[in-house]
Amino acid sequence: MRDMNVENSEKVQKFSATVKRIKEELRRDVVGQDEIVDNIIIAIIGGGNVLLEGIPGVGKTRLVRSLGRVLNLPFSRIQFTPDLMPSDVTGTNVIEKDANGRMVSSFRRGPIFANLVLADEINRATPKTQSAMLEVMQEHKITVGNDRYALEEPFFVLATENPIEQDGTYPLPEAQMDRFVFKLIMKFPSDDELVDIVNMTQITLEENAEAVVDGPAILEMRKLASQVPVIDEVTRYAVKLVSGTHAELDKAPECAKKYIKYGASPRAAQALITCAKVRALINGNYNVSYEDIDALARPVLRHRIKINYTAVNEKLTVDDVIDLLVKETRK
Amino acid sequence: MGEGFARFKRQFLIDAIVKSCLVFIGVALLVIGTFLIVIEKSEIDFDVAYAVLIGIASGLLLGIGTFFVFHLSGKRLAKRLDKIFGLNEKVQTMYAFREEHGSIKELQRADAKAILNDCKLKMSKFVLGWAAFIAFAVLSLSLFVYSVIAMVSEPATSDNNGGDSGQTTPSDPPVDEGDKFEPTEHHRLALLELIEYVRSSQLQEGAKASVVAELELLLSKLDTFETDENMKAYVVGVINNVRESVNSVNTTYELYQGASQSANKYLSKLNQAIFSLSIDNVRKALNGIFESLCNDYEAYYNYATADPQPETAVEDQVGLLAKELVAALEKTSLGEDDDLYSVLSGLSAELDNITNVKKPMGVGRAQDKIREALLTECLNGLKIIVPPEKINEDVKVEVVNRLEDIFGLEAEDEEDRSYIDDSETADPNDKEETGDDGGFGTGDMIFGSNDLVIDPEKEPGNNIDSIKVEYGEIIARYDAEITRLIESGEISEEIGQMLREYFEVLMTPKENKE
Repeated sequence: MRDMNVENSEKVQKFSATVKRIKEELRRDVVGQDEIVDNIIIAIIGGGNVLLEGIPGVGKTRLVRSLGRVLNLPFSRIQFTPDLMPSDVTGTNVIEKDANGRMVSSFRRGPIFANLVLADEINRATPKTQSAMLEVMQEHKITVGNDRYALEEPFFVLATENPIEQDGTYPLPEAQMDRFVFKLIMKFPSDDELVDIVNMTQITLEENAEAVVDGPAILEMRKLASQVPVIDEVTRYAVKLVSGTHAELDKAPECAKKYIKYGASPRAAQALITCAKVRALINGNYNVSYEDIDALARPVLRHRIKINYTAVNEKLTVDDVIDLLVKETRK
Repeated sequence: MGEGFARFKRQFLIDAIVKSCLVFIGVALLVIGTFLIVIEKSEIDFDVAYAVLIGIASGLLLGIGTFFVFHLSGKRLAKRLDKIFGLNEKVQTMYAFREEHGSIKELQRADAKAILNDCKLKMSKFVLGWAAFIAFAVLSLSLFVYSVIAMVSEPATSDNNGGDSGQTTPSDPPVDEGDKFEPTEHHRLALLELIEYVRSSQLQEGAKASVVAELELLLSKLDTFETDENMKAYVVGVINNVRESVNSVNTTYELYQGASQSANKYLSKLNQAIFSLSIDNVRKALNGIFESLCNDYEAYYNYATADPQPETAVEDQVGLLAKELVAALEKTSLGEDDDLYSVLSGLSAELDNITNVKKPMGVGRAQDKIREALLTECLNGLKIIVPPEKINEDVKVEVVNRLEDIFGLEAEDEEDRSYIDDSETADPNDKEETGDDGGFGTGDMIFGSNDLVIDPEKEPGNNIDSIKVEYGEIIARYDAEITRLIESGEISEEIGQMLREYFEVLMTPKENKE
């Protein structure tokens, strides 16, 4: 028993140390954006996909590429354009000559066949192409013709959205938005951070981060995090938070009734608990607390709820409404 | 769960016990103290023991409830500890998964235990929480002490003596302030004392229950009388009911009603004497009847044995008394098992025997027989009957007098009664007699000075009113007779002096009395 405890303790210590090293390596390529980095790590370990929103040039692609190096995972980048076809993402069957000169059909894998996929400007793709991503993001499998191909775990999609350009874009449907565990907003760096960025990129544009873990290690970490206990009260709190986004329910708090048009799906509650476990372990805690739920409320809920005109009129953002929701739910 | 958790559990248990004890003490003292104050202020007849029981029961109930409120279950304790020490649900998680296995769960448990072991909770934190409870207990104690002091320092009220007559009410009745009737503490207190007096008296049980019930009903209705008039009318009704209750158990009263219309002078005398409820009066009356009957029998004997017999009829007074006595008894509801009935019917039978013979017995023998019947058998029987009924009568008079005093009733407020006014009845041993003295069978019963009474030495004929004379005339005649008897030596000087003094008292005018 004692040996097992020691072994478990070592596992947890290794977990914390690994995460710390991942952060340190990422900081070598990405300046600032600590919260983004923390949440991306949480999402990866938790097994979810992330939607990253930010103006061009804040380091979205660099972050994901650097992440691929640190995690030692095959990385691919898909630049979504309006003319991108689904087969351009998933791959397609092609006719080619074999060694004997016979024409045979073979499946040419698309860029989606990677562990880490950057879906850049996903909102520029057509709904048809976007829907091709749905199956991949949800099931980690691709269906081409009659064949079904499984993607290698861990599989992680980091999609980006350009909040500026709205012409020629196709807003992501709610069904697809719901499949992202987090929506993270990369803000424009501070002056000091920008100075660091400029200085760093003057030296080299190459990523310097080195590999810290690999795929199996991440899967181990995911398994370890899933064992973190959550008491019933905390689970109920997360559920209450999510159900509180539905203004049509009697028990919804006043802020929801006043500012929210559409509420979050049950996946939000699942995402809260799963990611809260990872966060707790990253912070050296062996249990999920209310604080973990509160900390993840914004990234989990901001893309899942829709605020109404009243909130817009009062110049409230989605994050402001989420903060009000958390405050009222905690009472 | 670890030493730390167990330690905190003990601390919170002590906290719950202390608070529940303080609540028990505080509530018990508060309830008891409140009851004592209410009893003392409102004069409610409520046993203090019940107040104590109710207080203890209330304290127990709330004390136990307090314990369950403040006693923390494991889950609640874990939540409280997380909150106090800011442990981010560590203790709650430890408690919730205390029996589950798993690498992380075991680590979490060990981590939470270690943290709890290092946490300390000073007892002073609990003591601060006890402050409100201690304050409550102290306040309740103060109230309790105040109520006990208030009860103990209440002035003692007078004791009620059972059966005594002539006892006055404890204080003067309130002044009537016009038509509106306002019951006061005097009314209530006096009525309560009167009820207690009746209860502890030797009034016959049947009458006692009725009288007590009447008084208690009057007490309960005190607040309902809107005017003096209403009150007095009701009280007069109570007085009449009290009289009726006592009269219904006094067989002498029933006899008096039955015999009051009799024209027979002897029966009338005997009736008055018995109704006076004074053995002395009865003895005197019987003595007078004996003398008269003896004289009449002698006349009868002479008539019956005379040769030739005169045509004038001489009434057989002895036998006539016997018949009249029977007739009077039959008008009552007295049965053969009634003591008075058996005494007087026995007397009647004895007297009838004297005359109901073929040949009249000798005068001397007849006199002996009359003496035996009247002065021995009758008197002995009445000595058993009269005293208890005298007690009933005394209690009745006392109750009526007190009610009149309490509620300020005048004689004209009460109904006219066809029978003799009880307020004129006086104990021959009581020096504080009211009204004029004298009349036949004086002592306890006082006749109005203008009343006409039957002249025992006249024959009624067909009109009883024809033989009624003024009271004063009878007194003078008796006084003259006493004087003659003393002067002729037929009675000793001592008896004569006693009779003289007796009639002197009776003859003294009311206004000259002390």
